[in-house]
Amino acid sequence: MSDDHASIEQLLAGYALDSLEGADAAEMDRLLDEHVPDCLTCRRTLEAFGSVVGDLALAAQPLAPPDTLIASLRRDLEPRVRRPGPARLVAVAASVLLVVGLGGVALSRGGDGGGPITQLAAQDLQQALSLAERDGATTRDLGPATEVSAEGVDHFYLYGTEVPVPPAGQVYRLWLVSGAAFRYLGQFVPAPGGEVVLRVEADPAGWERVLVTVEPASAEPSEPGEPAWEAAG
Amino acid sequence: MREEDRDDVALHRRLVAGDRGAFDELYRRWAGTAYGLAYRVTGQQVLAQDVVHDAFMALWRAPEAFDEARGAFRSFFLALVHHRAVDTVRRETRLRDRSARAANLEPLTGEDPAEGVVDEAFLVVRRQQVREALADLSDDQRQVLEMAYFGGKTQVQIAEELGIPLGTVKTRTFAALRKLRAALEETE
Repeated sequence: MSDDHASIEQLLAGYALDSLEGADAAEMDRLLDEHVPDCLTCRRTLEAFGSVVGDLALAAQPLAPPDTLIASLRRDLEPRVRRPGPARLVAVAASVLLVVGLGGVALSRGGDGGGPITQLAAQDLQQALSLAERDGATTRDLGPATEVSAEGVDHFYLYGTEVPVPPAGQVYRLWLVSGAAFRYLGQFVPAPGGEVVLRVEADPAGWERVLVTVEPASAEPSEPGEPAWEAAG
Repeated sequence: MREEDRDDVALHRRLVAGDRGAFDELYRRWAGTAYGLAYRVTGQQVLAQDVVHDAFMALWRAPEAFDEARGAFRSFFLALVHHRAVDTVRRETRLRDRSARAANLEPLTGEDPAEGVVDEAFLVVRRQQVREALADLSDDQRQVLEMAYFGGKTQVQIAEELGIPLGTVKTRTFAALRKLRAALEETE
């Protein structure tokens, strides 16, 4: 492909805006490897467009972040203490949100059949997001996830994107824990694309922590192992 | 280098050394702008918070990613926020209908959007310069720019939505950035 600057500058503009895909993105990758490093004109153009795009952010109305944001950041800056346990953790590669509502529904112990966990369709994610937008909703981190609670709601949601599929034969399990006491809520696995949208009929109020573990599917859930994700209840 | 950029660079150097106070100060200076940008792109407060949290954590964990020789800290950090916000929007698109999102260009209902945000003086001026420069673009140029930057859409998606050739989107985008570059460099 030719390296004429008229077409390259158009690609640089799209690249600066993070809006290239397909063949254009591939061509930009090639140019960044083979042309731009040795081309002063292109380097200056890319730098200038980057500066312009940085300034574009200032066109958005500034907003005061919720107080929970700096609190969660300060907490996450601390070294994390991990407990040894029988169930291995897995890393969650992308954002996962746990939406927790407060309420008073009695739980039945169980997994993905008649228990408190219901797997929802992906398009039902809006239900969870709507809950998170309610007055009285608060958010907090759950490891790589974010937990959101709202007063006066008798269920909570768990949803995420690009959640790693657990190793063969293993599943995620959801627990409420207080000291030595615990309650098993059920198990789940993400869709092949990593999507998880769960509605959980449970009340985490009164429990100290909400846990997600990774455990063998064949093993009867007995007690929670080391949490993959954890939040104070 | 402008004085405000020098302040950011000084804070960044302290951040590299692990200074938590520098982190707090950078948060104070940029969290409002970052959160406003993330909200406008994602249209959801909870997603915006997630984006800004991740961006600040990335800054803390790998402050060396910013090279002061390659531009202002502001450009680096807000590009980081923008990139994560766009990634979030594109992931969310797989899960739900984007039309259900809050309108991107509207402020939060029932709130004063700027409440609690104390802009540095230079930011007040720069915001106005950017908005004026955007207003000077043609409607066509501003449309593709906002769809790409604030809408998180690719040029292919923009062409499909507007029913125009991809080449036209490229031309308008380039012309828009070139015009903004000239206007904003003039006001530096």
